Amino acid sequence: MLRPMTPGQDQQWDMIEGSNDTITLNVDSLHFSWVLWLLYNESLLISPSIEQWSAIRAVAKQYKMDLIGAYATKRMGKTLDLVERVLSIQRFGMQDQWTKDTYDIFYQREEPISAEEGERLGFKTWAELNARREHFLRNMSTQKSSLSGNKLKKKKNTSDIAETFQSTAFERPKSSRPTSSSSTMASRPTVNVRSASGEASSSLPLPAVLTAPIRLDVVSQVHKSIAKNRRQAYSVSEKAGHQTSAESWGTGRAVARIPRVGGGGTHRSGQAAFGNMCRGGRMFAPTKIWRKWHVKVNQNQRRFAVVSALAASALPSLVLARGHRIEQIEEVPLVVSAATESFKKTKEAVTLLKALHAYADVVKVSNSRKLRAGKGKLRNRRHRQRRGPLVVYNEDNGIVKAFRNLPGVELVNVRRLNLLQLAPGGHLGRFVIWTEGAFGLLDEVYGTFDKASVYKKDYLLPTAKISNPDVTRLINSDEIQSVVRPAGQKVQKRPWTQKKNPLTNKTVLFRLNPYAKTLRKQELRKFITIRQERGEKKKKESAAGETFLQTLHAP
Amino acid sequence: MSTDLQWLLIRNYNSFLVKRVPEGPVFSKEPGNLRNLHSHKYSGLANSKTIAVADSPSGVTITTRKVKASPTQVATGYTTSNIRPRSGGRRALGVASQYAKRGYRPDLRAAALARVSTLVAAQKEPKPSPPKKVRGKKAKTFF
Repeated sequence: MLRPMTPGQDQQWDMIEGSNDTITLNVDSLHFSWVLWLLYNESLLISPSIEQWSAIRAVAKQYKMDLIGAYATKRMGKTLDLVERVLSIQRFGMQDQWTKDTYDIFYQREEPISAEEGERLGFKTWAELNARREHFLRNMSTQKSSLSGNKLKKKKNTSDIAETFQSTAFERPKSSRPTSSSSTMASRPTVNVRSASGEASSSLPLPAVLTAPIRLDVVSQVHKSIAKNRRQAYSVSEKAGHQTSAESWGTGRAVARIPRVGGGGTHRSGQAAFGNMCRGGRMFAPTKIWRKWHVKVNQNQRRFAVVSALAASALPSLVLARGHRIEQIEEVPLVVSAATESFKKTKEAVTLLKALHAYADVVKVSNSRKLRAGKGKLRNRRHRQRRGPLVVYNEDNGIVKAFRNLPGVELVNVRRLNLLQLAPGGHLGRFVIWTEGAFGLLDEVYGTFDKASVYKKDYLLPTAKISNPDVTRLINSDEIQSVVRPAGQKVQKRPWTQKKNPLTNKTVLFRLNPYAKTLRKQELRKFITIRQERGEKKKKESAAGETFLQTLHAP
Repeated sequence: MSTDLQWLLIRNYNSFLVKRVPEGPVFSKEPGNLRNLHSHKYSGLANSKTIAVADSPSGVTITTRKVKASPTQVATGYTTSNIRPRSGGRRALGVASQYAKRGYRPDLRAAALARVSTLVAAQKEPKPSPPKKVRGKKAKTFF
């Protein structure tokens, strides 16, 4: 990499690199070789790219080769891609007329910086360019005293970027996808930044990490393991139960063969010792300090858990479900202006929280303070209380001291976010208050779905297993509805009342089998005739003959 | 985020859960839960549209989600309407059923009506009970 020229070097020719043996040449050999090619035979540089020209320009400037520099600038031309020009300026750190021209074109052109350009430029450059552009346009418009056109431009610009972020929020990039304007359940792509009075002043795009997949199982499992890593080793005394010279009495004394304390004169003598079953003996398997106190968790799992917890903290329902009093606040995620980072007094912090309607959460913590049960009272854990808001900052200009005395409020740098604070107890949805700087840095700290993080090597956000977890929407989607069969007739199992048994219920039987009625009638008739016949026969029959009876009853 | 996923996340554990009776019903204390039951349908958290019916000194308030509110809005995303005290049961129920009629959570119609009517009934001033008639011996001694 080339070093940009400093004013000190400009004045003292002796100090220029390469001017004598003690000060070595500090030039990228590749860049210098391009200059040499140019001097030797330009045609050997086959269709030189803008990067090559920029490098040549930078080298020329460093060594005061004005003609070569001017030539390179001329060759770079004005028709080149603006974004590439800006990127090359940033890379080689040049400050001259050409640089100024490039920026001027950016500020003055009609159409705003498009989403694609913004993506290529990176968040920081994009934000800075936009701010300068707006400033420039405002100056212009005050001159023309026509504000309306300017406002329109600004609006169009933000909505342009907004669309990009919405589309990256749920559907993964890299694939050409249809517009996602119909997805109403997508998180809002921009988040308001609130001033000290609680009013929305500006807005920031929603960082990709806040739309990451939320995995409750990963969070709870990682939390369980990580929470073990701050334990202090404990054990019983090595000597406990063994500080006696007891020995077994052996057989023949009609007592158990356990070691017994010798001597006389005290109650202790003759008592059993050592064994875990003995009074005053050691415990079974005495605890040792060389236990496995820590649990290793894979780095990617730890990051997944933190990312999940962050995404959960951006959902109002989950923050409410954790028990935070956020009913009165205006928006989740809650972002406050950068001025908050330089708060010095707790009084200011309280005023801010009250303005944001977030003070109720602090009051909740204050009211929940209880004396701890058990020995923890003696071990610097006298009270227990709820957790309040977590304030995430980018740079501590006094914010930590301003907030830290509020009950339940915790502060953390955005580069050092911790699962134990983001999901206390393994429960998702901590109430997080972001400062503007911290919120803007999230895309750098955690990367996005297609851009690696700056702070974590090669880290991309985890992708969800399904891009749309909305079951109702899936069912009602055209894709599903176009292939399902039309609904059949309604089948009612019991259209009237309880089912009747046709074997016992005549009406139901006759409805089912009309012939049963005839059959029954026939049966009945048959039965009656048989009966009649039987009855007649009975009358005819008698136990004894007539002559016999006459003889019997004879006087 | 989809409501289905949110329900899965808060289903097993949240600060509003009430499990008092073993093997009994599981209740939920969150605002916006019309039957105070822990279920996806009645949940006041895991639904993008909710109806919250609550008692207030100025009658019964019905809080619903604004149509165009973004999912990140909290306090500003809700709108409330009031049923004045002494409106009477018929009018109160008419107001409550309007939401279902407009297609805003028609599945909660019965629950919303039930809650409103219970609150209206509870706010009614009870009739003064008639003086007790004295009977028996006491009546004789008095007259």
